[in-house]
Amino acid sequence: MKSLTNEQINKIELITSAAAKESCLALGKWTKSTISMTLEKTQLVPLQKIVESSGGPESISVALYLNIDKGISGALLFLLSEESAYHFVDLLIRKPIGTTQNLEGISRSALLETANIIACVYLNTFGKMIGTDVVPGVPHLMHDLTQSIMDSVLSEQALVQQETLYNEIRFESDGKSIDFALYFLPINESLSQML
Amino acid sequence: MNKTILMGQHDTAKNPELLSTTLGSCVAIILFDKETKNWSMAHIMLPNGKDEKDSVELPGKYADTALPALLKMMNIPQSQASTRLTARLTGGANMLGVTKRDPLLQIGDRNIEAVKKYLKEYGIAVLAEDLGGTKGRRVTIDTVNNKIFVNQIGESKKELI
Repeated sequence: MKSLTNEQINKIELITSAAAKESCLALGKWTKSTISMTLEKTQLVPLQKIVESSGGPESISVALYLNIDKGISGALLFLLSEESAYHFVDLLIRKPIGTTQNLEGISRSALLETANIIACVYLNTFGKMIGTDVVPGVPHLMHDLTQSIMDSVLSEQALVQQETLYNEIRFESDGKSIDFALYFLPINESLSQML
Repeated sequence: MNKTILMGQHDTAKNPELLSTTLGSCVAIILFDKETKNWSMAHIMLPNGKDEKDSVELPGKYADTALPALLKMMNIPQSQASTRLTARLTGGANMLGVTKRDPLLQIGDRNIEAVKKYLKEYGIAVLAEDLGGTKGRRVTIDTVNNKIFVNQIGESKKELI
């Protein structure tokens, strides 16, 4: 299985940085708030290491997961703490912060639509920069133990590779961290062929 | 002492230790030695790993290499596995919304099938199982009371009997 060279990883970092900036702007428009972001260094990390850093055993998260359907192989994962997910829904449906207490009906739809919008912007930008159409699949929502979510997502990756490209973006809303992280998880070989 | 294993790891536990792991589509295979009253657990991610380079460092990651690794750690020869050991299984959830049309991606189901196959080959009886579904699980072996507990979000803690 072909992995990625350092040169390719540096190139991906530049591309994902541009994709993240566009996503951040789109998120600001979508939520009608000021969104800023921080980017972690892009690196190849053993799958197990990601679980170790993803939160304690009692931690609960809301995840929006989607496979990439066309262009490259891989997935996007949006991971929010439970509290941030509720906060985020309140922002989206214009309710006072603290209103949302579960993820049913409109709350669920609002988060899934957010994942759709951000994924399209992120992957469109990424695709333009590597000269191919990159199309997201349908998002799926999980509300569960953080380690269980990561366990399932990374098991799918483990079918084809033992390391993944760790590319994390953290978003903040109006200066307050909303603990909203986006992970771009490509299948390394498919990306390697495109660069 | 509370011990935790992560994806692909395996470990043993003896009185008074607690041994835990958190699962999604992965499967935990839990063994109990009737002779020593010791326990062991592997957090299995994939069905087959004999040809994978990390199966030496992380034998607990694969169904086919986890069982020999657990037996070695418990100091039990394969010839005594069927008489001394019993097994419990948990995990194997389908959390990613993968449909039956994608059998290759139904890792949970494939892990369950592989683990059961290898346990049968070793003649180890499965006494209890809590498998599948769409929710993650936190499983803990309580070696003091010789019990196993499974936690899932929104449900009360249950014993794996």
